[in-house]
Amino acid sequence: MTHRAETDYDLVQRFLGGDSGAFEELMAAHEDRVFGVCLRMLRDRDAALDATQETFITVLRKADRFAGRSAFSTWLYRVAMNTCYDALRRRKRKPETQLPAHHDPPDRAADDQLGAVELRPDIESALSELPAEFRAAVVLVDVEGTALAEASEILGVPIGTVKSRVFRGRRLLADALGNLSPRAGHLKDE
Amino acid sequence: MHNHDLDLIAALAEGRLDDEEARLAEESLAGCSECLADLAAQRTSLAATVTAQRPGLSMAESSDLRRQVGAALGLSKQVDTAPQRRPWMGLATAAAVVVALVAVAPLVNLLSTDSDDSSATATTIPDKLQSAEIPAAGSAATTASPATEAPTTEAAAQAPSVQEDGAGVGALERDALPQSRLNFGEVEELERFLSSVTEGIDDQALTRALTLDEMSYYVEQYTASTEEVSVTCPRDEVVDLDGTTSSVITIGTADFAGTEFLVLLVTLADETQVVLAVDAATCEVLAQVEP
Repeated sequence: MTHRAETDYDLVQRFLGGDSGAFEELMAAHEDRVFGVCLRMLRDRDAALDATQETFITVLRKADRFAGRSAFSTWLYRVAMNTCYDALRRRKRKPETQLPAHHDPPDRAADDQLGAVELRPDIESALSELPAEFRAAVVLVDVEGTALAEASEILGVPIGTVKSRVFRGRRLLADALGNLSPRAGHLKDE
Repeated sequence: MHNHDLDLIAALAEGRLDDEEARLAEESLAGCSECLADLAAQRTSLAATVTAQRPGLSMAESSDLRRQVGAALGLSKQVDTAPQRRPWMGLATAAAVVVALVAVAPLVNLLSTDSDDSSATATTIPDKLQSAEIPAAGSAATTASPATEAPTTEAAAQAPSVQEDGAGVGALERDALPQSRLNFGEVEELERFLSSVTEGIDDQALTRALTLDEMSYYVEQYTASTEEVSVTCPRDEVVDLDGTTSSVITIGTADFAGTEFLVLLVTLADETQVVLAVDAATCEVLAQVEP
């Protein structure tokens, strides 16, 4: 078990014991990464914030079921992925309420200047071109640096499938990057 | 499509080969224009993604997120009066959503060749499915039928007991999941089987609701992923109902080309249903049918 995994396991146990500090530590350790994955999958900041919130609520509500057989982060990001897939499905079913993909910065207070990090429009526009399954694989493995074995657990597919999706996803991404002008990207509706 | 090793191309692009290995790899790919195009694409993509910034939460967003999550978990006494981003459908609310119970006994009869339960309203399996043999449930020697042979059926090994009370709530023995064993060699045969299962679902049975505990049990054990139905297939951890999946019911188990799969009935919050055949080991969806 990695150090992070050990720490998370301990934090979960403390959280279950009513330690609010453990809750804050768990959130601090994972909220940015979960949000980043959700934002890249959903391409909309508000939707990504909703998905992030939903993910943590789902996971922490069931924290007593966490046996530690796999890393907490694996479980967390698996739930995040499925939450995003659900949101994408809902968009498909109700195209009239489809959210436009945007990456507008949030309203910032004076003390917020160092907070939010925005996305480079070219790479993010290109990522948005990828079908969800390939985007998920490329985001997890190449952007987030997730090991293939963990990505396999998160996505719930064999390692070979992850490799294949990453390989094909990179092909598609390269094509999409080649079709974008240096500054102005285009956003694809799903 | 070229025949070169895609893993080798990926390893070369990712810089995982030492100098000598990389040199040999480059030489082997030199005569293959498709390979070189693939290699270039891999490198382009990696160069772009490695420099992509990780989007982060602003301080206000982080604070708001933790407050919302904490409130939902009951960690804070302070009630958040700001409009919720999204109405959260908790388990109690999900219980109010219409859930579908597949009557296991009638379905077991559907899959059985020797049941004479006249109360079953299920459509019988097409003759082609009934004509062949299958090993009994639990048998070690289950073999996939060749593509040219008809799939086989046999009497179900065990039917979980279903008790009906006046209130129409069924109680299922948790450990007695349906164990009918069927063998299929082709996806089309599997889809025909799923269609027959779908047609055979007793409409009246669908109105009976599982208790929350029973529903949670099935959801905890098996949920499946497709483009239409989003689920996970956790073996060890639990994924809660998320407001879009009302219930997941395991109808039975079977074999497809030597792989054990689960037949699941998934009911969504908008009451649409999907019947899935899911690889029991990898959770890959092998086939799906919408009633």
